[in-house]
Amino acid sequence: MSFKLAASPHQRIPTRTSKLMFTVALAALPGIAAQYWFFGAGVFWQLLLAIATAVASEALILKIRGKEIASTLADNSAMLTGVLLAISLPPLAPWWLVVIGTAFAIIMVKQLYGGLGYNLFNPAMAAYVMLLISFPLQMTSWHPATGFGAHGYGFIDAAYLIFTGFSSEGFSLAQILSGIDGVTTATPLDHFKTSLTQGYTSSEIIANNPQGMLAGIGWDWVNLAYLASGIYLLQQKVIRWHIPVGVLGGLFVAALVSFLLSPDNTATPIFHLFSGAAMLGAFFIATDPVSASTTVKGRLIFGGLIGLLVYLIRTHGGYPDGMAFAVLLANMCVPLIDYYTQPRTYGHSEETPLEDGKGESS
Amino acid sequence: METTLNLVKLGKLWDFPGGIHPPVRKSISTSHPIKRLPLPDHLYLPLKQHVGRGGQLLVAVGDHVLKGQALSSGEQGALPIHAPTSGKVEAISDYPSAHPSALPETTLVLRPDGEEHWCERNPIDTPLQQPKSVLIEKIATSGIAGLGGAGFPASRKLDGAPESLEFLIINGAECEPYISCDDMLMREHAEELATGIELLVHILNPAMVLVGIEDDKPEAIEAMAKATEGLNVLVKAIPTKYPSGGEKQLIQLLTGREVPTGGLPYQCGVVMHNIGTTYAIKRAICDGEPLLERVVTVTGEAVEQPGNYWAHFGTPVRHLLEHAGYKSKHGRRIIMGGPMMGFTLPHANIPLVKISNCILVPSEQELPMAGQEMPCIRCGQCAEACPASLLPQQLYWYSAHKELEKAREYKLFDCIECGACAYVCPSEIPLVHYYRRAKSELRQQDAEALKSDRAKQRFEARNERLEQAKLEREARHREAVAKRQAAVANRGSQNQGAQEAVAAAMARVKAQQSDQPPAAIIDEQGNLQPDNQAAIEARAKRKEEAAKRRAEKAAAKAKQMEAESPTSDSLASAKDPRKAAVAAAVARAKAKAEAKKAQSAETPDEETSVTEPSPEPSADTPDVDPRKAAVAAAVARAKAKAEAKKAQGAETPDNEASVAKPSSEPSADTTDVDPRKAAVAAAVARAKAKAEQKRREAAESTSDQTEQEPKTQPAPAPVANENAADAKKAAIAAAVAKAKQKAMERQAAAKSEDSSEEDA
Repeated sequence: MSFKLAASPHQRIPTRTSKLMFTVALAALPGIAAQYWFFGAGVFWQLLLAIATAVASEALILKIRGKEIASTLADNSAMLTGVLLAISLPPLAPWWLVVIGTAFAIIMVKQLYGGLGYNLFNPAMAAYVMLLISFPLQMTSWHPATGFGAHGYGFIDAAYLIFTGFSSEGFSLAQILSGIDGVTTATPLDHFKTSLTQGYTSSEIIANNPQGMLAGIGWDWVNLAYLASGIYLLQQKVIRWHIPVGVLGGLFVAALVSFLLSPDNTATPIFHLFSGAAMLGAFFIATDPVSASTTVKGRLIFGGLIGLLVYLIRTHGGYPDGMAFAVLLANMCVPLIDYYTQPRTYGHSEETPLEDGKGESS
Repeated sequence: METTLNLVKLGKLWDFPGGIHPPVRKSISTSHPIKRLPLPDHLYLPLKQHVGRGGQLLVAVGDHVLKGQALSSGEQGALPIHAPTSGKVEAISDYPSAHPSALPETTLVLRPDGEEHWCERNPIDTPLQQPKSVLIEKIATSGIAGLGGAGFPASRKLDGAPESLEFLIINGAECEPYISCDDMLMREHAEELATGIELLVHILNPAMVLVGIEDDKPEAIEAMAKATEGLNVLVKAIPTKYPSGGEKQLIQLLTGREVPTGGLPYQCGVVMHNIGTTYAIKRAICDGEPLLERVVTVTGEAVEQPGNYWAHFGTPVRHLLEHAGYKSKHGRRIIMGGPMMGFTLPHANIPLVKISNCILVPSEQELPMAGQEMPCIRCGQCAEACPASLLPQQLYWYSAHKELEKAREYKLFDCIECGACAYVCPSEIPLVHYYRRAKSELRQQDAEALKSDRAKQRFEARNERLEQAKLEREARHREAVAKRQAAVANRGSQNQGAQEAVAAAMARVKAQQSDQPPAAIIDEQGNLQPDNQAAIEARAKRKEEAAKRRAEKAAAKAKQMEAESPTSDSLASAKDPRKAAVAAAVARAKAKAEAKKAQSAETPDEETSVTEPSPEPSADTPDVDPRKAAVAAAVARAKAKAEAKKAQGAETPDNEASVAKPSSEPSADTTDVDPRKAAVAAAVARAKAKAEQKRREAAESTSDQTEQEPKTQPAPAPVANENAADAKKAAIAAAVAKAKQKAMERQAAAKSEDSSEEDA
């Protein structure tokens, strides 16, 4: 008789990394559905392109690095990166934008650092920032959320627009974006910022542009969908609450303070929470474990920092939304945060961890 | 302190961070009472069954031992082992041990005789009236190790406890899945356990006694609560969460305190004993039974009758599995211990030891083997599960990438290896395995560093010592020199006489040598060997003295013969004829005797002296030591001269003497091994032989009535001339000479030519 030898423990939870990744991607479906509803079928093609590019780039690099391809691809991390980038891009962005972005995310941001688990930055957000800086026009070409069937193009038209720049009927992307019913092409955040610079007060902006119940037609629904998905992920213990609470808390507190100080030229905290990429960022992007802080306290700080930065960039920066920048900046702080937020180990006397100073969330 | 006690009394429970909730699966093995196994064919008893060292063997192969008899002695932290049953010691050899490495350990093989003959049991009748040292001693000699985990000797936990202990905690948490041996023991032996607790209370005198039991064992909680009624014992049901049974975690759960890192529980006012240990203490003290057996849980889906068994130590796992109905088709792993911290066994012949609480044989579906290890995604679930509040992902990172010092910085050594981190890891990284490896590497590094530090210290100490010794030696040396100098100064006067005598002798030798022509040769040689000058001179002196002595002897003989000569020389000399006759007779006799002696001596010197015809070898031949030869030659010449003078003066033919001399000399020289001396002797002999030859010629000539010889031979001439008249004497001399010559020739024929070659 001879028996198998194994290191203890011999018992494990059945959750696997691949399953975690897949669950996250799957949890994005309600949000994707909302985007599809309000912004058309473009998101479908973007997802297809992004996932294909992500898997292909990962396979290519793995082959070059002489690593096992099939088993590594099976961890679903490349697919998830593709999904997250695809749902962050304007639905009708040209095909090469998403291809370049995804390839950049996988090759430059992830694999060149050593693959899964070794990247310092969130691949999807790094790619997003790269695209935003390199192709600002294409990256800000969001068209108004008009509701299903109202955009004047279907599934096939979306593909035409993405791959050729023209719909099957010959309308250019610009024509499509300029709106069928003359609604402004800017996103609510963009619009708000522009209006503020034009001297309107926040209440006037809201009053002039009835954009839905929370933060503009469509966007609030998209954000609500991601919030629901996030809660599902929390419940499934796929993600921990610290980072989302940190992000949303940071954003909310910063917006609240600002709103209380000068209500006339600030959007309400609720507007901030349900605008742009707030919920997507809080539950799906900032929670990327690899590039986030790993200590409990550190995660709160990490999330809070992202929320604060999002608010600052939205309010005072040059871009309407700041999630990607905020995440990247917080990624940079992770080693520092982790170092100073080590938990007190059993049997060790209480150490005085250096407070980060930015812990408005704590 | 008081508040903690009060809070505990009020029912407060604390919590420890992290922890996991694996499926407990304990009911598999709790459906039957504890069963007793039949004796196996052999028991394999490793000397070392616990943390620390093994004891010294007390029995030999072939000994018959009784149940309970000590097989090894416990000294210096080692615990004794006892014969679990009566039988014969069949072998003492290395055998795979119940250790993750399965490395062989010295193991005693006992063949049970089935009689179960007990040795004399010495229970302590009134333990609560005994001083605690007696009880502790009993616990130690009964070989009781902690039966919960690492097997820390129970007596040492009791010995090291402070006088004013706050908590005695009896650990009945048994948090690891599958294991139910403590549960069953509490259910079935709660009364004995209560007695054991009383004994421990007597020894430790704690302010409070707590029994911590996980709330998934209601029967055990009830039984213990009932058994300890009336005692100052609180039975605490604690939430089921792994690893609540870890010593540190249970202390934290029940008291809110933490054992300081690297410290022992009593440093936070706690002593903890396991249920099994408490039971063993009761058995040892009240029944006089040393630790011979324990309850083992045999469980898993691959055994048909999972349950708890009383098993003797040394029972092979195979024996247990056979009785539990092991289904070999399903179980491909045997785990000793639980699924969280147990280790897999390479084969089923490993014996049970004091720390073996469970044999788990799971099916593949039940506990699947770990899949492929994936990269760490830093999800941090491990950090949330860690009961010690470590950062397992950081520890993994530094352990896997060999940044061992960083791993230490992240408090690697506070890891209790509970496996909670690896349990939750979605990437199936065998985290604990990495930590164990890093720990052992660090320990090795530290040991090496310590060793090299010590070696360095030793080396430095040695250098210092050597330096010190050198200084001391030098000091002593200087002192000795000073003393010697003083002594020399004191003794100077006394030694003067002796020194002067030596100096005088040296001077004489020198004077003598300088008189002789070979003195030049001595100088010449002296230059070649300047260092040996003194020795050479001394030796030369000795030689010279010896030669002188010989010459004196010869001279005396000659004188004697002179006196005797009248018999032969009666015509020539006017000496007493009677005396001369006597002397002549004596001389003849001597000559004969000496001739004989020479024959028997058979020295090479003689041989050369005969075979070497060259008349002047001393000066011309490149001898081994020409200097000596020269000296000898000089001596010989001097003698010859002296003799000639004497002969002239006495007008006596000293041919007899001269004939006798060469024969007497070899006899003296033969004893000498020194070739140089031999050479000297040879030279002397040659010189003599020459003289002899001449004489013989003279004798012949006298017998032939020839008058020419004396002219050519000035030295012996007078003798010859004077002898010429005496035919008789000449004839005698000739006869003697001939006899000698013959003898020498005979010897020479028998000799090798080495010496002659040397001379040549």
